[in-house]
Amino acid sequence: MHPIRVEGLSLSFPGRDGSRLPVLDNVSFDVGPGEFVSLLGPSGCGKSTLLNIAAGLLAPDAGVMRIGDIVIRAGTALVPPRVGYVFQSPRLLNWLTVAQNIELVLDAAGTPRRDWDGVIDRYLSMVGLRAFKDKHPLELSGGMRHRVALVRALAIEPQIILMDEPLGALDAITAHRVRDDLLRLWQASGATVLYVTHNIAEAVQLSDRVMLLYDRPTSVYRDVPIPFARPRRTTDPKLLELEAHITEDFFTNIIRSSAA
Amino acid sequence: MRRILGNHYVLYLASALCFLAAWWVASLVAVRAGFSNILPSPAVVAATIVELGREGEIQRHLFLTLWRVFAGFAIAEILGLVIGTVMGLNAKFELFADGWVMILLTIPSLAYSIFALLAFGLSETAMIAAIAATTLPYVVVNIWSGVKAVDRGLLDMARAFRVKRRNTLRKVVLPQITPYIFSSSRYGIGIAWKIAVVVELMGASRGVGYMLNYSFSLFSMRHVLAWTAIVVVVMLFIELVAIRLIEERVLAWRPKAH
Repeated sequence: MHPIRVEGLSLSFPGRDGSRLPVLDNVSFDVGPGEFVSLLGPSGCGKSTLLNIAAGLLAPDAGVMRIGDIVIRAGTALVPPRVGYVFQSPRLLNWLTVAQNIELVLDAAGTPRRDWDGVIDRYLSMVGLRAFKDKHPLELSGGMRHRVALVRALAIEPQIILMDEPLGALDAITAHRVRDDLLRLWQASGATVLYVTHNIAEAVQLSDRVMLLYDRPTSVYRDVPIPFARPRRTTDPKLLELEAHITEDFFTNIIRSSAA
Repeated sequence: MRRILGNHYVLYLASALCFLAAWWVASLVAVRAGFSNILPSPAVVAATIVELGREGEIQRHLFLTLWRVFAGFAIAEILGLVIGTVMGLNAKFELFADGWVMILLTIPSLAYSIFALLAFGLSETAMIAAIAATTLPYVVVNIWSGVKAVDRGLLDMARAFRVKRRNTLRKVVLPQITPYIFSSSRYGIGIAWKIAVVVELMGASRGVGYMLNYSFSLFSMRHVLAWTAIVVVVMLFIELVAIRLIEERVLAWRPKAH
């Protein structure tokens, strides 16, 4: 049973001149239990749209997305599945403390109130932020806010986590540290991750599989397994070789073909 | 002082002292030129205020005007909060109400006063209605823009995490429009004061506006200035002390401007 199964998903938006602008074209793929799969494509393509459908914010025109026990297809009412979500910006509520931000989603996820303190302490400790639980987000650094957003997604202990370029807004050094935290939290959780990025190195470092996506409309070009055990070293030559190969393929067959 | 005015309180005090000095110099010039009645000095006006206080005039008129201002303002703020919020959330109602708001903003406050006095007679109801009607469109515009400025990304976050509607309104939407509620209050009370004095001038037999008109009929500049000063001081107190202290407490999560 696949936690995420996408079959023939298509969607178009109305264009300015009344024509339809295709965004997703017959996208199909599966994500297995506990798998970390990246969707890699040029920025501005339909990757985020795909995640918005998965989060129950948007319905497709055709095709089906099964996510957890929810089936999303054209015409069905939009019900958000029980997933953790990490956005590109942390999207924390600045008027609540770190702990209160997490409590908001624990409440929504139905976590019993007596477990809240324990859950919050445990997850904040895993990213070294336990001492900051009563601070407000604007008192934290950018990297710390991203860690809190990671903790928020994991604290509800979801089977599935959706991530939309969660490191995209960070500088390289901060991104590296947040990435380590992300991996540690994910490995402890056993959750299935669907990870959207336009960063090839990041996708190769993190994922079990990388789906290379065509642009405008988005469709699957290639499904590349990353068969290396974790922990992975950033400078591992085999990893770098695979990254170079994917980069080559990406620019030859996706970027150049869409520019033509 | 520091707590109320912030770290730049020295500048505020200096600016107030400069104002009083300029007034005093101007009044000396006026006396030299032989127009001693045109601009009484700050000391004369202060003495007049003390005299009005001792005679019980301030208590008799000021509290009545304050009550009218707050009653009118409260009605405008509550209605404005509801109308502005619905306009910000509902595109159809926004289009429907947009023109109304523009028209209500354009009508002169004097016209509202006349409408109300003709409709309700020379009564408290008329005065409060005129104050509320003049203030309402300003509050609506303020709250409306606040609701329009609510961060869609945070609403999507709440939805993706399946936060219940009640919690979304209370914890995601309301804190974002709170600063607009404060700015509309500050603005609204200012407008309400101005119109209250106008409507009292026309239709009241008590109140600050009535006393301003009475002072005018006596050609007593020192009484006109005394009553004006009383209004300014009370307004500054409301703005600087009452609203700002509440705001500081409610919006404590925001980084300090200084």
